Amino acid sequence: MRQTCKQIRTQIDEGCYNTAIETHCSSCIECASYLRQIEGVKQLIASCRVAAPADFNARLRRQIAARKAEKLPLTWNWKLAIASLIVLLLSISSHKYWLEQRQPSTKNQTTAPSSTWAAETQTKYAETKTQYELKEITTPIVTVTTGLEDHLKQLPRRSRKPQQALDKNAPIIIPVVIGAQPILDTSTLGESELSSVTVVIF
Amino acid sequence: MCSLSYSIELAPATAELPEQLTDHELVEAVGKGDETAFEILVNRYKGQIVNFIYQMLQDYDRAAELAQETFLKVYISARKYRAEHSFSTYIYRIASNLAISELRYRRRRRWISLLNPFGNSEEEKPLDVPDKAPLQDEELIDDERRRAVSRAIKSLPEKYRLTLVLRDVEGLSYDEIARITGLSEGTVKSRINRARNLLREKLQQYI
Ligand SMILES: [Zn+2]
Repeated sequence: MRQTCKQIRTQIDEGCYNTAIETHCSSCIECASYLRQIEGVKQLIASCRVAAPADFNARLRRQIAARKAEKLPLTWNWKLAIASLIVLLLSISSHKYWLEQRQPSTKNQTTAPSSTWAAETQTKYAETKTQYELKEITTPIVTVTTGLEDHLKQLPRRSRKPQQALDKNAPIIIPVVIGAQPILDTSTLGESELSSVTVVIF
Repeated sequence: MCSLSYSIELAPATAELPEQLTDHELVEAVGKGDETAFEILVNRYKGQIVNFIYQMLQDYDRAAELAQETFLKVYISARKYRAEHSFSTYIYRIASNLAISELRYRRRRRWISLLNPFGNSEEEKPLDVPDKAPLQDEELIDDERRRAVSRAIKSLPEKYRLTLVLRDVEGLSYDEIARITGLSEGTVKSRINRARNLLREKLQQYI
């Protein structure tokens, strides 16, 4: 192969077609054949192009949505766990605080609660030694400051209807929604006594 | 108890986000959560990416799936995207890596199937070309030629196939192919020439 042919073929390979190639190929059969074949290969490959499927974008949208949905619950689980833990700790500490405040007054208590049923129940159940489990149930009041009032209305109101009161050991269920304001308003508990506090995440 | 629902809308391109925006501008917008920008980007590149992966694998369905994965990766990492080179280089690099991983996975599976003579061999699988309507005479010839090209490309070693497809199918520059593959421009050129010559021999009757 002449030096010129080698240079010309390099140019053909690189696809930089110019008049030099044209002039050379008009007088060199080998290079003209090489050019034809290389162009033929390129055309053959190019003719086999395929297009994206018609539903490509829709499928991609679904995949992205699925990926996002997969990721969300994971972060939310963490948030729920942390938030419920905070609520639980707050409830326990406020309950503890209330118990501490109540200790001296109980000893010297002379007046019974306002309703007669409360007085009866007060004598019925003795307070246990455990700080967090009081056996005596009188008037537990739960105040909710978010949109869960409706749900709470369905809970038994032991303070008003003693005959419907749950077992003395039954827990009081406090619904909690993440992002809600304080759920248990301990200031309204007054003389009431809680048997236990259970936090339920809705 | 705690139910969460999430929906995503990829709205069609609107006048507020013109198609004339550059790739970099679009990716930046995608990083800020702009779904329309992503839609434009997908429409701009989906044809090339599906075709590129198809030419690498010669398997249309899998090519479409991997093209989806390519765009998913673009979407997920849009916020971290740094415009060092062109977006085209970036997306082709993702697609090449996926295609090469797939080829390697298939090769491993072929070895396993060779060790297990009762399993289905990859070689026995017919070539997967996109579905077509009933073929006329001329179309039959086209189809035969298409299959021959497909077989010829599939027979190329992976390293030659990648550079050839990027150059002769996708029409990328040597410089860009070098950036995508991480090879020197000289190596890219020699691989492309080698691949073309191999194809020239195999496809002689169709040229
Ligand atoms: Zn010559």
